[in-house]
Amino acid sequence: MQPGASLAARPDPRFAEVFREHAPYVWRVLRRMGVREADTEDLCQEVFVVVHRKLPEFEGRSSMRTWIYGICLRVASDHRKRAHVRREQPTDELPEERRSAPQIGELEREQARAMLDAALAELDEDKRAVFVLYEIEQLEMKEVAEAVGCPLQTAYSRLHAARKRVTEAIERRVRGER
Amino acid sequence: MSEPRRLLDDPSTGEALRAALDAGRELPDEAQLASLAARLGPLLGPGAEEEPRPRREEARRR
Repeated sequence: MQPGASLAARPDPRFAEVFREHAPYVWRVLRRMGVREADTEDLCQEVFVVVHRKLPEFEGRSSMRTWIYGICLRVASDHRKRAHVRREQPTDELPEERRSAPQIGELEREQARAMLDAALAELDEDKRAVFVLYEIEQLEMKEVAEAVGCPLQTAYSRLHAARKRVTEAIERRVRGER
Repeated sequence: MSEPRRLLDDPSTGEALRAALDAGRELPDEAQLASLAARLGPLLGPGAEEEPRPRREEARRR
């Protein structure tokens, strides 16, 4: 989406508040769902254009954050399905420009994050969404089930399976295996 | 059914997994959010200058 596209609408004070409250988390959940850094701003914009359009219909049956996370998951999923989209290939290696950064603590955090994203990439989309919303975004399980649109018991099963897979993937990487 | 203990709150979670999850919770920086706000400017209106803010508990954690 180009900057300024689909924005021919009047400002809504409630929307500005929603944006300020939720924008950082929309960004983060898109990244953890595998959206490339270069595409994240476009996708965030897409999410908030949808939020703006649908805000008048929001009835508060779920919490605002659950509703917005649901939109995030759909936008990320649609993005992944587009044939022309280049998927990020998660790797434990950092981009060249990052390797020159001298701050050790920051470098370690980037490596840890890269390892997490590589582990998350081993999950299917459904399990990944449950894991990200529960372990990273720290929603309650009831909210997770609402956001992904599945029964609560299914969400628990997905979380259990995702935890096992992510834990194994991280342990493999620590041992130097892929 | 009770909520499972989150991995970050579980003392038995391994160090590498804990570090990975913690790093994965990092939020975008101010410049990234400002750039996004600029794109959404027409929808945000005159209050758009105010920065997006982390939730209270997130701000404490960071």
